[in-house]
Amino acid sequence: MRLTRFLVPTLFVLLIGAPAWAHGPTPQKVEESIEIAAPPDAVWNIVKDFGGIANWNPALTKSEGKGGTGSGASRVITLKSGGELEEGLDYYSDDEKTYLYRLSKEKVDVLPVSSYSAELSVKPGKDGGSVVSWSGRFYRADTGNEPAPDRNDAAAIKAMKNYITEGLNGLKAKAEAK
Amino acid sequence: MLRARRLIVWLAASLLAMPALATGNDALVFVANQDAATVSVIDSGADEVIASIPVAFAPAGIAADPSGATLYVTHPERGEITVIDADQRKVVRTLKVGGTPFGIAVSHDGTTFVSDWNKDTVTAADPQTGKVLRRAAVGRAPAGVVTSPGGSLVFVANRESNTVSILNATTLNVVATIPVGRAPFALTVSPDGRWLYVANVQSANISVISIETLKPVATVSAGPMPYGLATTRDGGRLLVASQGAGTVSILDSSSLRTIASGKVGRFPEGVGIGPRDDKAYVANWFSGDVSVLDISTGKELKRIRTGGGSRALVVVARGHGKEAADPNATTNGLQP
Repeated sequence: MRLTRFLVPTLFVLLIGAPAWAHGPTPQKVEESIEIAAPPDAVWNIVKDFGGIANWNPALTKSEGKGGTGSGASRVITLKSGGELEEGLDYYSDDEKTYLYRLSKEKVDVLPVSSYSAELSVKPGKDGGSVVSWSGRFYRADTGNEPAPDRNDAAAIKAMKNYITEGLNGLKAKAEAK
Repeated sequence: MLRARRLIVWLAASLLAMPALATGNDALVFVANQDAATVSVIDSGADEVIASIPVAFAPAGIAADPSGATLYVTHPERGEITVIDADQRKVVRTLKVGGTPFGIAVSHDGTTFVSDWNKDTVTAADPQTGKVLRRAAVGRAPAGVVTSPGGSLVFVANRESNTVSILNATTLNVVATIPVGRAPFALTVSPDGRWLYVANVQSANISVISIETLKPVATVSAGPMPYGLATTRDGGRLLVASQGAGTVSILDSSSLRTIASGKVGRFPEGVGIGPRDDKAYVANWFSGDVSVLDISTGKELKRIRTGGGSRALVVVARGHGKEAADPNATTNGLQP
């Protein structure tokens, strides 16, 4: 009984969790932004450490960076669910206060998205504050033409949106804390 | 291998009929907008949208026949290809090809070559009926498809296999499979038919392959996530769109050095060249617009609002039938 309970979900994951290709033909997008009552320099100071994202993102319990913000830098993030994702840094600019990264290896059981790249940028807002934008380009978990409801475009968009929104709210709370 | 090489050289030499350039004439730029489910038509004289053609859900790749009279748009989510009449600016028929049609190119006789992202094939299909004439197994997740300027060869970038397949356009036999960088997606051929350029998204570089020897001759670094490629009509410049940096780099084709670079919209994909080699058009997927670039300086001249998810575009001559289309029009499949 115990064994069955363990085996069934495992088999299920093994069966559906390993598509032969890494992503599908039609990318989806999510873009969220938030106004923060703190200067862009101060907000950038919080987010600029690529490997230290867990310091401000409440959706994560842990993050570990490798290679700083240089070419080929990467980080492993641990979500609240316990699942880990590895992300590679693709573009980083202190001047523009922006960086772009990409999922290195898909794990659709952690996030129902089979591939993503995302961009975080800090821009001047009103009254000396900031606007932080976080956008993602990604593919649904099941890239075939008849995905299950928890692996389709809507599921991917919802997961990304929730993840990004939680992160931005956490950043705002941290940046505005006295 | 030697036989294959000889065959390639023969095919390349015997059928190297360069399409006439549309010099002096204005052109039309057709842009496939994934989210808006439209194809925008831009007049390259005024650089304004003059029409928006509604199409089916999630268009991806676009190509024109050599005369520029007919456009073909793939819909991987629907297993369909939309056929558009360039003059009427409307959909005239839908080819129900099934599967996941993605990259597309059109040969001189009008045959369409289509990659199927999930089936790992390239098919030659009848442009009237969509009926499959021939089918070739290629690498995994075949993306961009282009034909040689003479029309005798078909090239496809196998995204998940890190290779390019070269097919005989007549028989659809695989003549060669060549390793490139990681995640090749877009490709383009020099107008003289000698060089194949392949943009490798994950290794952030461009593979240059000699079509005569079937050997990679150079690898050039590009910006992060290169998703779009085009060569100018005179062959002198190679343009590379970096999705990660939101820029387009302009390289000298001989030295492969970057001579200019410019910011465009967000997450650029497809690149096309204007009729006089002076301007380039870049589809910006995230920002849903098209950047017009000055090819000599890399400066963005104009940003044209098109529609959500502008992905692929093709430049065709106005007054088709008299002038041949953009060489890229016959050779570009998806230029994402």
